[in-house]
Amino acid sequence: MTHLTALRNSVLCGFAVVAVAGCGAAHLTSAATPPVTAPTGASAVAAAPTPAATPDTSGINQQVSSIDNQLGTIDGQLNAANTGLNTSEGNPAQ
Amino acid sequence: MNTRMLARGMATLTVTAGLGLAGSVAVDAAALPTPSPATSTANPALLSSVKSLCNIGVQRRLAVLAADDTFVKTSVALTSSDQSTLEGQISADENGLSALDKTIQSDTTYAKVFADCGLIVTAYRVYVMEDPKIHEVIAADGVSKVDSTFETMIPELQNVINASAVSATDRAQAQSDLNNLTGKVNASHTSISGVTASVINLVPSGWPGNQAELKSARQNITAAWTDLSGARTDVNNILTLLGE
Repeated sequence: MTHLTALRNSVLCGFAVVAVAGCGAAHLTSAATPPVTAPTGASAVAAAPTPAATPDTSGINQQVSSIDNQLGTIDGQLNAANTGLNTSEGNPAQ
Repeated sequence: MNTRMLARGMATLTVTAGLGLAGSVAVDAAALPTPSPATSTANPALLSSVKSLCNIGVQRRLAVLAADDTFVKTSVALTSSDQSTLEGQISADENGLSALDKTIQSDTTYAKVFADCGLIVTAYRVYVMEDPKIHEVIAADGVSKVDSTFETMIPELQNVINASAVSATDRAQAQSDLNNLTGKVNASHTSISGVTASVINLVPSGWPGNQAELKSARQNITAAWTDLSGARTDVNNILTLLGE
């Protein structure tokens, strides 16, 4: 009797695991991530660690481009300010 | 005697102003009429010549202010508050100089023309104060913008380093570069703190004392620019190490 109860509980537990994994797979399918394969059978298999994704540096490259532009502008504005700071202004007609 | 001194002063001003034109407008001082000491009324031709030089001075300053206004209006770095403040100052200077020019052109005595023409310099200080001030505010706000961009980028670079599959040595070097970069951005932030506020409301009446503020601001902006350029080099180093 005890043996049968344990067996029944084990089967029920297996169904529960499959149901949870199935829900997770359905949810992730709508996202851009790789689909998750629901485990079959009564026991869930631990997911193998995925390899490190290739870092996306496109955002960084855009930021670098913006920084380059700004540094060039700052340099130009500094040069323009230097011109004024190295000038004397005493003649109204100059 | 006073009339003779005035005539001599007039000739001196004419020559000086002519030299100030730096060759762009030929002024033959010897050909200018000399005021007659026998009359107290201004020589119309000489008065007109001086007024013309004053007008040239006003127009040149208006051209500088117009160019500055373009910088201010098109800058992507200026905060809206600083942009509004500078546009207001430029507009006030333009209106003031235009009104002053009208006054000068309607003056009827040498003394009044001399006095009003001098205001072109002393009441505006366009070349030595307003113009450099505007450029410094644009530059200082630009530094703050770059600081902000770096502050967004630093955690992204950290993520790239963490996710990279390069050797431990390269990763350690990339991390060291990122730490260096962070230090430079922090130093830049410190250098630029308070710079805009220190110069944006400088007024011509504070000249020449406020020149020190402008020079100090330039020094701080230059230091910040140097740090940010170094940080930019660090980004290159990191991306190269990571094979990006």
